[in-house]
Amino acid sequence: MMPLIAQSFPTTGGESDALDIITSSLELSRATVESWNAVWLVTLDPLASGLWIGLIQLGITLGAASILFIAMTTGKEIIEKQSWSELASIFIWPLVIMIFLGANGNVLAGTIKFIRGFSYAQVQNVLQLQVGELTFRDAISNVTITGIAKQQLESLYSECQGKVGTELVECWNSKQEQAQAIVTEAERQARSPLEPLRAFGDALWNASLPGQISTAVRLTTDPGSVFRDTAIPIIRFILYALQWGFVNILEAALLLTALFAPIAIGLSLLPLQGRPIWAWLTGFITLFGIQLGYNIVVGLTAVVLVKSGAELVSDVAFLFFLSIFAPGLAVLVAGGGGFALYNGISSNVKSLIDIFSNAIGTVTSIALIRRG
Amino acid sequence: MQLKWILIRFLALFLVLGVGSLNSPVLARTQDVGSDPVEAAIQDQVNGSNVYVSSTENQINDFLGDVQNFVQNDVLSPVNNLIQSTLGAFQLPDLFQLWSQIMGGAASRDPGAVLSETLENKTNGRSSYGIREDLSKYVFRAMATGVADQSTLSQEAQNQMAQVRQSTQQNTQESVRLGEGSQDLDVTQQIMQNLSQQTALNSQVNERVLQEAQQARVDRAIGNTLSAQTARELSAITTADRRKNISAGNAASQQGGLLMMPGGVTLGSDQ
Repeated sequence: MMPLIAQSFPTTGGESDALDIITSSLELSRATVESWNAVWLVTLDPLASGLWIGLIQLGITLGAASILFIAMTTGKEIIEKQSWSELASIFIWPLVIMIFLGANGNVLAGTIKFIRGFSYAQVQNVLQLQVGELTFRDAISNVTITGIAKQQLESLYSECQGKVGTELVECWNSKQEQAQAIVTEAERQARSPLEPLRAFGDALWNASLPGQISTAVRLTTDPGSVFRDTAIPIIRFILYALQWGFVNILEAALLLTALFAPIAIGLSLLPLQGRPIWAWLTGFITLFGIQLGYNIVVGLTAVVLVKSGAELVSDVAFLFFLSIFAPGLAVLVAGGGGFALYNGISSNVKSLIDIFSNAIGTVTSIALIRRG
Repeated sequence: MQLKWILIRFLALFLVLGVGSLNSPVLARTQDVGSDPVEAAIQDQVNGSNVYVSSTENQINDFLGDVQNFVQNDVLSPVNNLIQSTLGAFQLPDLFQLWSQIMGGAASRDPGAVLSETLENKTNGRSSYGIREDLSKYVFRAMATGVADQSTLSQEAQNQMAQVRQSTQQNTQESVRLGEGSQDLDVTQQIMQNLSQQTALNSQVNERVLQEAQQARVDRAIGNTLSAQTARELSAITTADRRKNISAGNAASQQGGLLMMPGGVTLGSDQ
């Protein structure tokens, strides 16, 4: 409608918040990770954590009740049979319980922390795997940050969506500086050049320059794709939130499982079909298996996307993969593996313990016979 | 002889009286110079015009004062300064210039613009095109409603309009009175009487025209106010849409930045 648009606009005071969205979110994300680590340390502290001490006491109580139950049921048989091997075998689990739950579960807490630290390192290391020149982690970072930067470019240009004629050109041109800043910031955060994003940005701010308007539009750099419906960011938001929820529920599940360890150990004395401690251990390891599988499958896909230069075009599709399909796949695979693991452990350990207790019983019998 | 003397005196008296009666209209007119209906009417008209002119001047001056007042009240100071700098000879802001300056970023430090920037446009960092455009349109709307209010709809403007109407009514009444008066005058030419009557009727018509004009002015002012209200609602929808769009985008970007992979791995640079 009216001309005269200054080329550089005075600052408004809102700059401190500008372009900080990614940075603040990444910092918040790191803070979340650190908080999880801190929560693990604090919760599994045998000296100071009231929750842990309470659970240990519950485990000991259950263990004591189990010992009474065992003494009343199995003890009578042993006395009648006078079987030394069975007598020896009923002492194994109380010893184990004593070792793990004694001293406020110091050994148990240490063991859990060790398992977690080891598994955590494995899960992290998977992301450092290199496929060609690209690690999984870099690939995931590139794809996601490219998606976020495109999101911001869309927000930036969205107010030009309803303009026509000179207004459209003026509005479009006034965005160039900010659009370049967004791309630069994204590359700085990703610590690597984001080629498709930069090409897309170039297409955006060259789209209205006289003589540079290209008639041939490439799919990957179509500047028109910067206009989008309001529903798209909402879809992205939901998918990102799902991913966040999945990863954090895994962390929470790990911690919850860890906290159930004293109860599982306390109940392991009962002559059930499978010892609860093995079910617990299987569950604990399976959770890490889910994490491992998720990282592998997401990392591989991200590498494929980066290598094919499709991270910009397939941003929403990747989010669906990241938030719905990959978790589903990882849970299914690791769940099946965990079930098989549990069956294997429980059956083999049962036979191992049987062999072990038989051996002890035999040795005791021989010693008694020789003495006699 | 005495009878003849009495007769002559009586005749003389009769003649004097006769001449007096013949000259009576002229005499009457000469005697009533100070209260001559036509002159009085002209005088009234002149006075009325003075009243009208002075009231119009007052009206304009008052209106201009009010424009500045409403600007000071409604729009915050950066825009107010801009408006002051674009006032023309008629002391009305040059809307084209105002638009150009606001779109050029002259009002980027306006608290409303800064707040809007902070609220909605974190990805931009500078006063965006949409915010500047919103502000320009807002000033236009404020100007339209301000002018309508201060020139027509405010109590003061209504008083002035009532004054104008009252003085016009007085003029009309006087004109009618003069027209009716001319019917009784001893004017030899009938056409003069008709003309006078026509003038009186014309005054009545003019008064009705003024009434219609005032009514039209009020209707226009109300129409402008309602149009401005409609424009404001439409603008609110547009602005809200834009903010929704941007906030949805920002929310998605923030949530995207929170992405973390199992094993405590976050995006971007090292932990």
